[in-house]
Amino acid sequence: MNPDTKTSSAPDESDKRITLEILRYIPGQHDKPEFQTFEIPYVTDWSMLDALGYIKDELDASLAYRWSCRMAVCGSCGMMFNGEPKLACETFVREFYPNSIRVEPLENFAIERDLIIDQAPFLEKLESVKPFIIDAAAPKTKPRDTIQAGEYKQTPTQLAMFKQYSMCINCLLCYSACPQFGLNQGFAGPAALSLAHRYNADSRDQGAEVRAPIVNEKDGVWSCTFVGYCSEVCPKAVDPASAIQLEKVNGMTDWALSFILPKGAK
Amino acid sequence: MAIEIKTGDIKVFLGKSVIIATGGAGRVFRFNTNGSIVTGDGMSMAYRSGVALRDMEFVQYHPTGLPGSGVLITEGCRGEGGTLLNKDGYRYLQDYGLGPETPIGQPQNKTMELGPRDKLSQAFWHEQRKGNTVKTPLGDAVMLDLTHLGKQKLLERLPMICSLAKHYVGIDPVKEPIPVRPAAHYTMGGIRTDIDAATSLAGLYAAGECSSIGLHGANRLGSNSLAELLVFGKVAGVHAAEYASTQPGTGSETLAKLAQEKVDDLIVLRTQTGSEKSSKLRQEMAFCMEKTFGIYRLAEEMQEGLDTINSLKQRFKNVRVEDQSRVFNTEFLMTLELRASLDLAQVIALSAVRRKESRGAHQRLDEFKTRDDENYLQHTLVYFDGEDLPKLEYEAVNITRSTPQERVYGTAGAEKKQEHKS
Amino acid sequence: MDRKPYVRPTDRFWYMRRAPYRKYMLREASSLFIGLWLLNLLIGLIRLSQGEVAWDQWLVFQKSVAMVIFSMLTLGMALLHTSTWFAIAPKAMPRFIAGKELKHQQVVVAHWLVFSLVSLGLIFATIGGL
Repeated sequence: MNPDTKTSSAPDESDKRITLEILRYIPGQHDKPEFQTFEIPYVTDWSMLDALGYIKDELDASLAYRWSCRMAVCGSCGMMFNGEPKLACETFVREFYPNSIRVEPLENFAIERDLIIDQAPFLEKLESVKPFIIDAAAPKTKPRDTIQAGEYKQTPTQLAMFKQYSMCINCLLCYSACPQFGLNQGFAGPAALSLAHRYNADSRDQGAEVRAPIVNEKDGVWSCTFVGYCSEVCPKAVDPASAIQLEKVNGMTDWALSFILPKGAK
Repeated sequence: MAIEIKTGDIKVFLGKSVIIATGGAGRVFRFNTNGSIVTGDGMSMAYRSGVALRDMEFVQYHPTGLPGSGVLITEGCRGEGGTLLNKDGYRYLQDYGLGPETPIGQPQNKTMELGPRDKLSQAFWHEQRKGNTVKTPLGDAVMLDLTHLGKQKLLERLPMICSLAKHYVGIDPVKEPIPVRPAAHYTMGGIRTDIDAATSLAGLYAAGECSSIGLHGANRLGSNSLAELLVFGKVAGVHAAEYASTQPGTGSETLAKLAQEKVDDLIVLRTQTGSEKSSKLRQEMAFCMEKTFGIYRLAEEMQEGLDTINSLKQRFKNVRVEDQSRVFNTEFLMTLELRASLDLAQVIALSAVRRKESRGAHQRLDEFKTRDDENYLQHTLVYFDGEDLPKLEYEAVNITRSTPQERVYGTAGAEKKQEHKS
Repeated sequence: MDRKPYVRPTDRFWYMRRAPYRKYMLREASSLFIGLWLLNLLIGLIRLSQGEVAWDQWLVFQKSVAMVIFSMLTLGMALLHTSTWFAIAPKAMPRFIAGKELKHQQVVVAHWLVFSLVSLGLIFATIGGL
């Protein structure tokens, strides 16, 4: 018993149209990527994801792209629109109308197929920064996997030190924005370093030393030249640029102190 | 058995015990709060392996989804004192047994906007029929008013809501109320398990939205799905590991032979010629389910819905996957998801048609408007039966401590609570 | 069909393609101007040590049209560098100082305040000294 007659995701009767130029690449069919043009109805409330969905359902079922939540929390649908890295679910067709839109997979990554990139380089970097709480002290005192061990306590200030860096959804827009990553694929990159900082800055964590070989190295924070574009494109206001600069400050401080303090002292 | 999406290769994993944790089936409905992958694949797998699906007719409509997209506006908004207004700016919930009106910013449990989700969604339905809802470009809605919270509190407590409202309906919740309407959200039913998360198939476990442990009954309370994951996720893990440690390995030859049959099935599905387009069947299924198995249900409509689903299942046999590539063939994956969704749509439809009463999230406006504990204080069990319509049975509800009562909220609920105490 | 990831060729002129990159390169280019001008100043110091004639010649050179234009350009680039740095300096500052949260706006304003005071002080000292 559904009194609704309006189906909002169907095209309006109006004859407004918009053109998308999408970079296609199907291994086995294409030697190299080529643009394919699609003309679709223009619906004011459509996101780019809705537009791609329309193309896949009605025009070309072979168009492949990653997506899931369609509300900017899962980080799956990162791609380039007119050369800018954005989330397809949070970018709207009306932002471009009546001009045509160039759709490409995220820059600085190899293309697996159509708008899908090879994420493996990022996943390796993510693992390398050990993105989990390293509680070095606990084994010496008491194990923390029982209720008796007691809970971690944190003040709002302690939480504020790392909270924004924990908002990363691994969408990889920052890697597409970062020209240093474009020039040097070995660079750990904004998201991985933000996450390293998230743990280093967490009062529960004692793992800064363990992460230092990745973070406080040439391919770690020191490849960053503070372009700052990563923070501009981040959909979750993580501000990776600030995470990296703060790690540079920490790195320099540790290095300077290492001459004064005996080894192992803090 | 799994498809390696990157290459299209099929890989077989040999396990002594398996836990299914694949989520619900909300995407069988057109307007829903769910992500793309909530298509019930795991439920269908267990179902086709002979395990019963239980209580599938109970589908929760969350009262506050954004019109157009269905993006969820969290219940936390109402927890923070958000109010629901119809087109006259009136807090209409008090007309539906949820009153009296609580002061703004001082919400009370079980009253007004903190009433249960099914009742709030039903209230919307009635308001819509009366013509009291707001007409937005994206459909009818009611207004969720958070303006009393002020900018600082809103940004501190509900930052994501501010961002979602701005992007998807162009509203700044600091200044204006947000248009919302009910959307399909959660499947209370699922793979039948016992309290140890074990199914009737030895070694197969299920946890989370895909399972029916019996926790939610006909209507789930807010936040219980998260608590369920944490508790029964661990329970399933512990028991599955225990089971695996006591089992000798099955000969891999037997498993390989079984797997080969499934692999052949998959290859047939991917390469068969046919006349039906998977995206079209999916759209027809989703529209049908939304129209005929909504917040309120009628016998003739439900039967029409079941017939449509049955015919869609027949048509699915003739589906042709246009994309024949191997690397990241998402059309093939969506076709597999559609196969699972059609199974579940049929189970939901059949369960709903046969339950001749109204209970929780299954509400009828035909001759079966009230709850019938005498005949229907039962779980619905549906079993896969190959080509034929699934087999439906009933199972008694296990009542231990609390006996079923009348559901009352608002003033009536408070009075009842007083009675209970004295 | 097997995987065949395609690596897009790098664009030699990547820094020209997008506004944020062009702004970044301009900001970095300011260091060239500043560096060269400092070299000029170093030469001036050397000339100063070489006696009055050498010093006067250097001063005359500073007043030539080419040098004036270059100096103005360098001043502009230095101001560009200052304003771009001040805009992002808050990102490199600690989040809390003495228990109070440091707001981005406060940092930017503080930087400009100190910069203005020091600059004014130097200008007056220079004029006063002449």
